[in-house]
Amino acid sequence: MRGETTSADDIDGTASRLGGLPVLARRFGFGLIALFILLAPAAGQVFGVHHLLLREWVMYSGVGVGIPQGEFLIWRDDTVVARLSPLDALDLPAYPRVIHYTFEHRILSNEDFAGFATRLCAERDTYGGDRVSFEGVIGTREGWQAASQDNLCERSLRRAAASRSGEEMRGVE
Amino acid sequence: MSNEMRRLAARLDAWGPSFTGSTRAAALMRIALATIAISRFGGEIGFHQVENPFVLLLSGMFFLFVAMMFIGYLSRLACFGTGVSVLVLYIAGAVTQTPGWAHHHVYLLAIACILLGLTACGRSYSIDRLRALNVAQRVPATHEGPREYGALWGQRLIALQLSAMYFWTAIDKTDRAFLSGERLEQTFVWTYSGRALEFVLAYPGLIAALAIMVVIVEYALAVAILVPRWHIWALPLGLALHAGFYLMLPVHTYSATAMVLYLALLDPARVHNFIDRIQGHGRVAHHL
Repeated sequence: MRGETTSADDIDGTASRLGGLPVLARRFGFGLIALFILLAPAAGQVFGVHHLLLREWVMYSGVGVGIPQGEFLIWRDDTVVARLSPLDALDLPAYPRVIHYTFEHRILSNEDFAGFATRLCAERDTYGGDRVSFEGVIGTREGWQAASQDNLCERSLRRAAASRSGEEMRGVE
Repeated sequence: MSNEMRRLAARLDAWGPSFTGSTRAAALMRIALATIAISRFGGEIGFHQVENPFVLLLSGMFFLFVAMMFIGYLSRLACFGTGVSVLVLYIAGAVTQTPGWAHHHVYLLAIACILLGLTACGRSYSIDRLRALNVAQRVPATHEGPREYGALWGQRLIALQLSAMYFWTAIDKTDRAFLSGERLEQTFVWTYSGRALEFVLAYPGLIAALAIMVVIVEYALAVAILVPRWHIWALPLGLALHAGFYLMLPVHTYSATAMVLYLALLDPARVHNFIDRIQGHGRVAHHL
């Protein structure tokens, strides 16, 4: 700042009257707000205390979490009859232009693989296959995590059965 | 308190709480932020979209304040009102899990509007100024119109907000997962798979280099945007960073908001003089 003429240099003595606030109140308010702006993110990012109004600046840190990168393999006995990308497995041309966090096929645990492969399992016959596996990596906050999953269709069927039985139970209630 | 300390405190006070100057940059921010707020939420909370009385009330408040903010009528109140409305939408978004509402770009927009309310942003380019001019004309003894000049401590807080944002987002990225390029690659897998830029995924080394560059730039900007003599390289670098984000990722209004807030980093007198110059007025800024 030294050596430059700023507009603040031109008004000695008038600042205290500007803004309609007494000087002390303005100084106190400035200090308080500045501290909040500078330090509030530490609550979540350093101390793990998360609150909506203590905004953490972690933009895009979760985008790609739960998204697989690798191949879904369709097997007939011990032979691979088809290799599909994750998008092919979902029959999508690209991931949808919705907010990433609302994407229902994200794989956040091993159980979610079956959900991702549901469509593929239903159509494995068209490839002449009898089981589906996955080889590749999954996006996590800690980076890519290796993933190798076999017999996804059996789990998919169990998952569907559990879901149906849950719906029936709710119907009885 | 020693003289040195007193001088330091006085400089800090002049930089922050007592900062005053031309209000043109603040007014430009007011108009731009109002436009961004309308384009972000106008389509989502128009009366035709509303499903309950609470949102209808919020929608009514938002549109009233944002229109006032745009035209500069009761400007400070309008900025506060718009900021609070957007902040309520941010909270409501988290509570109702409305996609895209509880995001950093919405929070930044809300905070920027509220902080702008701490400046005399209505003294330029506004209905407020027109009213003040009309009042001044009715007083024959007054030869000068109302000055485009006032308190700008909110502008300094906006600068601190930008600095904090860069610092803390760089902190979040300072780990193996990001610096190795893996987290950025995950983002690109989600965004580019099946699209024209998918070829980028074939170059993990390039993605890692990009990740390291982003972190270095963000740390540098956290400090450099607050040092006027570094603005010559820091501001173009920051604007390029946000333009890059806008082109490469679906960042909604984040980049536009951050770029508009760069006006808060400039010396208000220089902005004023520059506007005078491009409008063909003399070199003397008429707020001084």
